[in-house]
Amino acid sequence: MECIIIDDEKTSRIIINQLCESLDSLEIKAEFSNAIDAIKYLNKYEVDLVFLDIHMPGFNGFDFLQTLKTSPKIILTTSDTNYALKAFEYDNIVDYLVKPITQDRFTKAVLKAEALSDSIKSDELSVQSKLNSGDDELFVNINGRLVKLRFDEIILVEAKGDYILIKTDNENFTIHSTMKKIEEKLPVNSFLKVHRSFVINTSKIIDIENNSVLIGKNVVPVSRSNRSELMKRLNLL
Amino acid sequence: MQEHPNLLYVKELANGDEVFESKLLSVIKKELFEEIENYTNCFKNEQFVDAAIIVHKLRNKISILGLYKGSEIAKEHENDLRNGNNSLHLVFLDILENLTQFMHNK
Repeated sequence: MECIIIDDEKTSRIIINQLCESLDSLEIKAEFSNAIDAIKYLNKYEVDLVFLDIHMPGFNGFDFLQTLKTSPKIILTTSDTNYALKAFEYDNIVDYLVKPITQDRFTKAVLKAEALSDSIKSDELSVQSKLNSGDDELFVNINGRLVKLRFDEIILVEAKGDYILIKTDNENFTIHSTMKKIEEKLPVNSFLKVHRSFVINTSKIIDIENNSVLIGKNVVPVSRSNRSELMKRLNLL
Repeated sequence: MQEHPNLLYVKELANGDEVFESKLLSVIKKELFEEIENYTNCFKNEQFVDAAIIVHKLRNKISILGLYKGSEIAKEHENDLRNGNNSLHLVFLDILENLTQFMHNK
């Protein structure tokens, strides 16, 4: 896996470098003492994994995550435990390492990132290779079985940590993938992200009340930032 | 009872690689002394939020050098400083002095 290290402390960068040395699968492409230089680098080059310090003056680790255009796997490195909960808001964060980082804990995190990366690559391959010539369906890998889903059968997609739950008219499917990946596959004219954890098929909406949508039998929250886009999509009288 | 700094973590990480150990210690020493100076200046100028940012960096070195209670105190001091409370300053200075003496001999 090609990786970069972002940490404002040289001490930490040297330590992470040394921890990487013991793992043949890792290749460090660059190190950065600030997140802005790392963003510039990632706008030019792709990497598989980022070791990211959260606490950096000015532009911190979470600012970096929000600016990212690509979605490499992220391993957070920090002296604080109090950001762990926030880390779960990001689909591409695979682990959270508290400094000083031990070799065992580091290795475990990298193996987790590798496993996830391999699995997503495999999911992507099966989805891409089996995409029909038509634009109205996709295939998803469910336990090694490629299942065809018509877009007009899909009610919603919900993020579930490292997985996504796809609810259709007849069945629900949990697959190992990310919201970002599925969003790229769904037609933008009928699907809309209404909340960071929900993408819905707008043609299936039954009603909308305050900050929620009734879709099928599901009540889905609508975040304030996505509400206006949802309202634009509706044929309002 | 005062904790004593140690190189257990550094040595475990180096795994016998003396070149790496020496390089790491040299960087820790350089950053430690610079950060202590910056912390002292910020504190004198009552720039407590800036001081808290430096305490955060120092906290990592305090842990690396085996002062686990010291690291907890630094964490509390960092949070206090962000809220304008400097009551742990003198205790924190003792920790820094302890580290300074230890690192002077490295």
